[in-house]
Amino acid sequence: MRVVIRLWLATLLAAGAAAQGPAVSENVYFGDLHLHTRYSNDAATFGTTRTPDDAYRYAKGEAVPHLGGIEIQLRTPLDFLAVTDHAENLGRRQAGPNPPPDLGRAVWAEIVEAAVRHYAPGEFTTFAAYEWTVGTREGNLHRNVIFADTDDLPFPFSRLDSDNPEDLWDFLDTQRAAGVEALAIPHNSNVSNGKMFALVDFAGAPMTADYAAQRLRNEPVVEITQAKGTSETHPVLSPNDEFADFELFPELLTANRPIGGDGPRAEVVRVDGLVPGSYAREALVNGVRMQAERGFNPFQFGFVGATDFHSGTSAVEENNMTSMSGDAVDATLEERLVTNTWSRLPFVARSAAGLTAAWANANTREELYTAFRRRETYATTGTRITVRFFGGWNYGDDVLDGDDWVARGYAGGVPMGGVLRGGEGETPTFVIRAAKDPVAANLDRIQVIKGWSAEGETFERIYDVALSDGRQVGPTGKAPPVGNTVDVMRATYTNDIGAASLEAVWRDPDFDPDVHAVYYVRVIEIPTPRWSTYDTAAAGLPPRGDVMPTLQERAYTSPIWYMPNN
Amino acid sequence: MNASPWRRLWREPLTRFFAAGAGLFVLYALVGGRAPTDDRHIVIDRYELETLAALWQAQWRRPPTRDELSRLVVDRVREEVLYREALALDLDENDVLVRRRLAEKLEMALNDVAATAEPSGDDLRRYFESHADRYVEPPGLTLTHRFFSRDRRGGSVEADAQAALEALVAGGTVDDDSFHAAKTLELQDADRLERIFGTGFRDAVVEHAARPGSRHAWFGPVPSAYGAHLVRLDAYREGRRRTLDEVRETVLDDWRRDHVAARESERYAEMRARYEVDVAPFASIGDLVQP
Repeated sequence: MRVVIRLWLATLLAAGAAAQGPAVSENVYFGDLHLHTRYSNDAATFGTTRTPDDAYRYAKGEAVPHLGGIEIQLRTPLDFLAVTDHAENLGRRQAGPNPPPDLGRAVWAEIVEAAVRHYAPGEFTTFAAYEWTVGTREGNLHRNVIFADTDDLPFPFSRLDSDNPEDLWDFLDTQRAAGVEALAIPHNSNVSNGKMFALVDFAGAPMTADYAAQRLRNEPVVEITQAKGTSETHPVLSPNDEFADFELFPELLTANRPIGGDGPRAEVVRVDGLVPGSYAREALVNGVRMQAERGFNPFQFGFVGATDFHSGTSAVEENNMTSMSGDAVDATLEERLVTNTWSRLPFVARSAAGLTAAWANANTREELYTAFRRRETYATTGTRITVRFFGGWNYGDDVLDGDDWVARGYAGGVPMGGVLRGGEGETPTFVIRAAKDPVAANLDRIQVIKGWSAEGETFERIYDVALSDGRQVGPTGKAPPVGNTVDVMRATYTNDIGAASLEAVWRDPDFDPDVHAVYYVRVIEIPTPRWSTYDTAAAGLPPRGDVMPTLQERAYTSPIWYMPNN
Repeated sequence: MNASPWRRLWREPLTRFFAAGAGLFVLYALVGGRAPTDDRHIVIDRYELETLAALWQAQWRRPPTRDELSRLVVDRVREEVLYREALALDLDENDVLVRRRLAEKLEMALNDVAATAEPSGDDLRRYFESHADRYVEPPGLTLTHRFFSRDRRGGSVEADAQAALEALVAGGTVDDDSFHAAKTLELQDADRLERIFGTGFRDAVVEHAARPGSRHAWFGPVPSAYGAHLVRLDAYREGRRRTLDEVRETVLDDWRRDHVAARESERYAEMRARYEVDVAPFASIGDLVQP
């Protein structure tokens, strides 16, 4: 079995290496890898009637009917979509009482069939997928399983089979050995109560090199932004990061009912989960530390973003947020603003996020899937920022000036998701270029986030490497804010501040060739109205006081890792 | 005759239980399901064992062991027992969710019947022709562009681009700016231009393409979200309506969707016609609705 896995990976790697020169990815594609339809039991409860067929039609840009009596439509269609219904009792609530004994298989067949029917190579890509939904009282360990193809698929391995992610990986390894390739994408680590990126295995034992290898083989990317908040980092973990308080969602998924009694909800004490072990940046840095100290890294993952909407519609546009939970819960603007019946957090705490961006040469299942595998991906909070990120040893300061800068980027190093092995003691150069979403807001800045460990401690540092409007980093190490043009009563903004594109050729001033390090890029937009502010403006109300009226949308690239030669 | 004994009887939970049971029986008969007759007998027959084993096999790529299969049977029996006890306790009665799901289930059953319908050749052609604007191949193109960055050039970006256009037309070269996307694009769908350059860029290019002599000649400046561009169309394919043969599968899919919706409305109208419905007068609803 191991041999076959190695063969498969070898084939994958050889495909990249066999081409003459480095593999260049020409285009970026945007899509959603996490969306529920009526076949998820919670979505059915929320009144969602949309099928996988509806979900794909909406993603492709077609108008679909809405319970509110209107038609809803994306302004910019997606390039790809994975419908990821909860595998547990698939379709059960939708089917009603007395379901046929083969209901789950019939629904799974319909999900796969919808993915087959809507796949249009070159134009729109679908993935057969499902969610493995493990949420114990201790914390959520949810994963989405994305299949590379639609042929000969097994029935989903669900929580009913096991609540141990290592069993899920065994299942995926078994499938891979039989020729069915898939990967798992962890998400909502932010509400995992410290479980998702714990430093021990599921049983609480120390991790091993085999554990790390199996984890990376099956989980190359992690979802860090979606409706139920941000999993990048948290102010407690990153006190010097002034952008760390973005769309936090502290409520544990498993604790959203009154605890210890049936008193009125208003009196329920909010139970926040543990922060350490729940955020991706901390895990990346812990991974680098394990690499340095123990020779393996279980957290060498890239980033993706998604909606996790339960409405069958990936309504990621902040100014076109029509339904994220289900038509019975959020059909109208009024319901979206006041509904608070099934969660301790107000409904408006949910985000209109996010998207996965993948660098590839064509919009096909094979091209996109292999981009996920090699982590040449980034997450956005729903906006379509374009960002390139290369690391190498010999880039000149003028690398971005010519029309061949992309080819030079690939030829001179590794793209996002890559590993940069030690040079001859010189400092690596990072080449970064970001461009705004052409129908959205300007850019505020590009940041490089670096993590490393020394003498048993972990560290992070944030560098502002490109700033709009001629701003400079001051003596405190901080740049002045970009400003704010948002009129919160009318939900408008202007692009009079910020830049259409930003770029940097950057060398780490604190580089130590003997120290393992991880670098990723965060691109930040100027402030724009949050979806809830578009809603209150449309209703003629002042912005909600319990959420930020404006936000700074952003993109997070998969990291580049530096590994010393020894 | 005094109706109160009947009323008292109706207030008895047991009566309501029987009435509800009878109602359920009638509903099952109508929907074509089976009434739960032998509800103390659970049969795990050879077919059920095969189903359990097949489910396992699909997941694990091997048949279950004897022990694994017996565990699957234990789980299956437990589920069935709990399900039947729940039914016996009427947990499905007076339950708004159950009522809604049963209604939806019948709706789905009607849909399934409609979904298997096949249009005649004429039906399909008529449908295709009345929805022809859905089946359009967008224009495709190959273009080369020169970029003048607003970030870099500020207010002079238009003038710089205009001067460069004159130089290009005169056969010279220009010193433009590096761009975040490619300078030569081959697009099967001109709408993609909006996703790369922003609103208005596609229309400018498609309008230009309609002019005589527009191929291989520089034109512009065309504004984008990033600055100004000079564009040269190297190839252009007009958009067109596809033929039925090219899109038959999609048209069939769409016909079925519309057909299902139409049949559902018809069937509902038929069923609705069998009922007499009384709704309290709307004269006195002032306290229930917004003015």
